[in-house]
Amino acid sequence: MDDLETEPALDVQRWREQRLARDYERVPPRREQPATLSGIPIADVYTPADVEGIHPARDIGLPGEYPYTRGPHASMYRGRPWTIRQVAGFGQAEDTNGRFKYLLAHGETGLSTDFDLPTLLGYDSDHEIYRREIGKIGVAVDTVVDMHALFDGIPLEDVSTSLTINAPAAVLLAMYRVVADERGIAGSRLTGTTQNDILKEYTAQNEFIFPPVPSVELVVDTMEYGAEVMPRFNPLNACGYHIRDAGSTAVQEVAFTIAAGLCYLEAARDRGIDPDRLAPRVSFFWNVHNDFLEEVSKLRAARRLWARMMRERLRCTDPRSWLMRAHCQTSGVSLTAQQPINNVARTAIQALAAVFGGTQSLHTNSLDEAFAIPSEAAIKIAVRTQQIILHESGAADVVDPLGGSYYVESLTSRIEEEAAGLIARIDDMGGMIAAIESGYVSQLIADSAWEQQLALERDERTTVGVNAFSDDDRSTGGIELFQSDPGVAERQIARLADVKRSREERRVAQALRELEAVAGDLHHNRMPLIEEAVRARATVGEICDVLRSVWGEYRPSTVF
Amino acid sequence: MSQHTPPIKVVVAKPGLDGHDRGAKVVARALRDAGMEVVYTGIFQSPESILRAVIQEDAAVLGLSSLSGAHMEYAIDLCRMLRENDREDVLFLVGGTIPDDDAARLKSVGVSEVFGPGARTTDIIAYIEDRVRA
Amino acid sequence: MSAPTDVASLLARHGEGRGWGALARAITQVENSPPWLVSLPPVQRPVHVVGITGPPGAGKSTLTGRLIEAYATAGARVGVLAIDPSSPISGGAVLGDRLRMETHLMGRDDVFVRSLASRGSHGAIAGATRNVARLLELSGSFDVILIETVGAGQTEVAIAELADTIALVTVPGLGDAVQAIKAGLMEVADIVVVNMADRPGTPETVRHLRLTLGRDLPVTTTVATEGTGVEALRALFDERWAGLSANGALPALRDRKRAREAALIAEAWTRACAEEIEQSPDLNTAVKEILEEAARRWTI
Repeated sequence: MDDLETEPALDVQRWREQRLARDYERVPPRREQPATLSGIPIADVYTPADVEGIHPARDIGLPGEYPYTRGPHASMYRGRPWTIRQVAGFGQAEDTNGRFKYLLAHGETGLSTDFDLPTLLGYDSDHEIYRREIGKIGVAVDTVVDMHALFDGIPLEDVSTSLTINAPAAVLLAMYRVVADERGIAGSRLTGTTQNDILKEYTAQNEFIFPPVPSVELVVDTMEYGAEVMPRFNPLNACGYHIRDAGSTAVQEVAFTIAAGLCYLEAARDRGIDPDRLAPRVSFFWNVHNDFLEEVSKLRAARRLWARMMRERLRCTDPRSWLMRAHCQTSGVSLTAQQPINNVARTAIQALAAVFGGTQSLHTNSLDEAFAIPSEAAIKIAVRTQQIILHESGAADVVDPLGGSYYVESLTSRIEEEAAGLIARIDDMGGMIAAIESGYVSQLIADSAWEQQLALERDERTTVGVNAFSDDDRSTGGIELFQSDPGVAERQIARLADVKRSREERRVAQALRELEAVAGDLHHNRMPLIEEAVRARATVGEICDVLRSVWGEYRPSTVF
Repeated sequence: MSQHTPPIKVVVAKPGLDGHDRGAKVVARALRDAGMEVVYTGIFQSPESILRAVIQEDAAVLGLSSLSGAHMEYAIDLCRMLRENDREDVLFLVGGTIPDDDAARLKSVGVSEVFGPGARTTDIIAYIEDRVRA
Repeated sequence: MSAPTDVASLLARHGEGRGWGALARAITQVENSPPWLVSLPPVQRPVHVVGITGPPGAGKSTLTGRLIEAYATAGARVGVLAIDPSSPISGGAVLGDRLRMETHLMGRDDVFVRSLASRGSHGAIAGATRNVARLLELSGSFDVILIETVGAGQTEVAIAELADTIALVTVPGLGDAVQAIKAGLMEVADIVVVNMADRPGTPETVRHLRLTLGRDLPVTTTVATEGTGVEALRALFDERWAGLSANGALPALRDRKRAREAALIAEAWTRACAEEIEQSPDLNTAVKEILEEAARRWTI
């Protein structure tokens, strides 16, 4: 019998050589070199030795306290559950409004909007070339009139809304404010987010218009505007989701996102704005991918790294500046066209990782992700998935349940360390804008995407239903895929024509002229002028065209 | 020297406003590693600029990547334009988020094959080599 | 590999004016034949062939795109050949220059751009490129032909050498300028362009280049991303072409270039023969027999 009193240390070496080796003799290891999805090696076992350098008070702490490893709030879901926030957007404003109401009726607790490609790229529905993209993957919004229709019957003072918009986010933010205002709702009552993280567009989502430097200044404009006029709204949602789905590793996802957040706040500081004024309203958007434990560790690592960066690097003194609040979305790229019903299982596991990781808000993908935007039936299952986790699994009753796990703490620290190292390399290059313009960030993402494809094709990684257990099953279980309504384009173009007919042209022209006059002065906040243009019923395209004429357009990257 | 067959020339294109280029870039790289010459047009291409690339580069293969739901209109346009310019011989492939019904319809208008999510680059390469060298 | 078969009829078809298809196919024919097997009729109406070369990262494709715009706006018909390196491992290539030029070309049906991969030896690609450029001249459809290469190695020098005017594009910062000098590009350049001239160090770089080059070599600056200096560069090209054409210097220049081209093609042909011999099974057998015989006779 082992004498526990005279043998205090764990003898991992002996265990490995005797017990483990014997196990593997009987049954060889399933994987030659087990590693996380991102390639971080996984040891045979994790013990207290693996967390020796981690200080419980300094590094892990308590929930709701710096460095927030265990969560931004003390009570976490034992108090307020995460927001069930499913993205919705297609057709005209009324169509999406209908989907909003459907989702709210089924228990979602926050709204999130996807816009169509012309809107995302600052074009109007009457643009000669891009008509065929109207309303297909998101809702068409040309003027504040559409915005009114989008939120018809929805109490903006009670419901938090996320607007998934980037290059023209300043315009849509102003529209949201104007809609509320015209309904008699004070800006101070509005909650929600504009995504507005332009830096990740250049490397991951490609929904950019203008070059990086003026675009970052425009983001600063919106942050300052938000602080003044909508103090409970988050004008910036720094994103890792798209970077990850573009192929990056977990470490790159954390590093590039935090580096972007820093870039915006440092640009604000360069303008004379105190980061403490803006940082409390910076929120984050993470991917939750397949590797359950890596994702949990990643979210914890990101929270701790941001807290440290805010306090030590930016010298913020307000604890709300150190505190990372995050929305998560389950990975779209991980879902398959083969045996689509399997995607429900994938999404559930990914969603659970977000909950164990301490997210404040969550979108779960639908099983038909590989084919089209979500059908009603599929999105309902996605909402139910979150509700089952919340009410049936018990996961929401424990705060940071994996805290203290030797593996999770060790992996959290490792991700934090490597991400910090990558941010230091970006600093050496002159910051995030320089790193983006040189192609460095795009190259890392493309290389990682390539490696993942190779791993899949060499069967080093298994995707159930694709390179293992595959068959011809493409059934969605009787769920009919979403079909876009072919009449949308014509109706939207007609509506836009109506708006243009009934607005006061002189007021629009004046507003656009005034915007053009100041746009070139990078440190001049353009939001009041954009708001005035929006009130005058100027269009997204007209406002963006003014900025295009002053700032030019950015050319897409050529990195493979 | 006598064994020397010239490399297959491929245009990989992304039509319209869709910016999801992870797949297109991975395919371009894979085709290059298989010895093909790939002209990647990049994002934000009109059907006209795509056609121009195919014709001026005298490409044998056109690969269209679309994850924005507008694949049908672009494919129909390009099939017609290829026909009008005497290039029906071009092997026209489409990849992206394509529902099965759409895939069938695409093939009926002139697309040779559809490679949806989860397609292997090795399959795409084999398909091209098979058809072009035939 | 054999001689191109269809070029004359394709050129005739191109002359009927129904788009770029026939010309593109003629180029494929020429591209796919070894340059020593390509024989084209003499060029009656010479067109200015401008080589744009220099180290990677100097913004050449962007500059070429701007030049195309400048020429086209001035009413000139532009043909462009963009050479990219083939992978030594797979023999394939990603031809990315068209992409980098495209924003300046949006909607232009009147500009012809063709990407060529370097494929084999530098002599072979240089010869092939010159033959394709000759095809463009013969087509009668162009007023200027731009050849853009990436890099500053032997291949790029070989290709550039055969152009009537060679523009070396570099960036501010003496390191790069020195690299280009070392690569031998400085010797062949007719014009040096310092691009990204909005960066610090530009005046010093320009001064250094003028001192080092020591001869009557124009050094000019551009900011390709903004279009600055591009008109001036185009004017320099036109000036040089006017000079060459007016004082009868062009035929002599082209004769010298043809001699150089012949040497490069001869080099390429020799290389190809050597490769063929190396791979020949008969040679291997012959060598084996000799070695066995030698071993037999001179055993110690």
